[in-house]
Amino acid sequence: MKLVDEHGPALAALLRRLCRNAHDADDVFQETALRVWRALPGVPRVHNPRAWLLTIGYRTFLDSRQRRPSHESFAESPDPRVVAPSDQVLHIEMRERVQQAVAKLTPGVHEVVALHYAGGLTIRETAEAMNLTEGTVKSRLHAALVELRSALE
Amino acid sequence: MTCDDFLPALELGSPAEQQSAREHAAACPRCAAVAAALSRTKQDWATHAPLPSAWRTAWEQTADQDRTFASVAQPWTRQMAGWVVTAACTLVAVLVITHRSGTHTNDRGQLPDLSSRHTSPRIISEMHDPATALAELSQSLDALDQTLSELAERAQRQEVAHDIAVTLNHYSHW
Repeated sequence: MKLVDEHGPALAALLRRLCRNAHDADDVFQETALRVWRALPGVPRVHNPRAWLLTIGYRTFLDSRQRRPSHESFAESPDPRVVAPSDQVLHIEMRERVQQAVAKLTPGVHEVVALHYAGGLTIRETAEAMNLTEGTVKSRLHAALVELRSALE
Repeated sequence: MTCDDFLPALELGSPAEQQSAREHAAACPRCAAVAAALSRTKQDWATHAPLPSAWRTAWEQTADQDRTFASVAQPWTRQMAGWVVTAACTLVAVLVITHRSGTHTNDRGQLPDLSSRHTSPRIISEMHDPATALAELSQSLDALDQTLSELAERAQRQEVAHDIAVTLNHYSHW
């Protein structure tokens, strides 16, 4: 239970961003749990539990998307935690603009952003999770930052 | 450095490029504002809500189900089952080969000279009778099935004994 207590919130946040709707994120979370418990006996020691868990979550999401590609909704699922202070109207507006910009990113770029920024994985960990080179991940992040710049201004 | 290069350099550049980006921001209020906005956005993304209780419950239930699965399938139990299955397959293969070679010989009408091995006529007829060979195979499989069941029961008993020993050992420190 230590794994889910420490890294479950990050996994949930990542899945919400990847799935873009709470219902699919819930399904993927449960399937991730199953895969984690099935995989644990065969793993002698997990050096980076967070990256390990998020990688399983991401790959479960990919499998789920392959099975149900049409269920995807492109409305960004809001984080239920985020209740911004009322005096930060500008911050809320900016966040909405960023969410809209992120929603327009291509799936490959969006996944890199989700794993790196929402999941907190390093560029190397993101590359390993996605089976990409670090160069490709950087290139996608570069594309995302160019798109985000206008939303951030 | 231009304003267009600023954000990628700040986020993805080498330490020297990042330093250069920071110097650019110090002189460019527009880029400084963008950097501050990105910083807030990253903070938003990195701050996670607590796990919904329903999701945590689902995780616990999955863990419980899997513990049940794991308790009847410990690595050494699986290894033992693997040996038994291998032995069973070998036995079946030997019996099938024996049976087929006997049938093949019969087809050609050439019975091996078993009399020199002092084998009784009854045994010779059994070895080359497909029905008898199949019956033997069936008996062997039944016996192996029973052995597997006994092994599984024994494994479960040993695991329960082990769990009790671990629990007693745990509470003996109190």
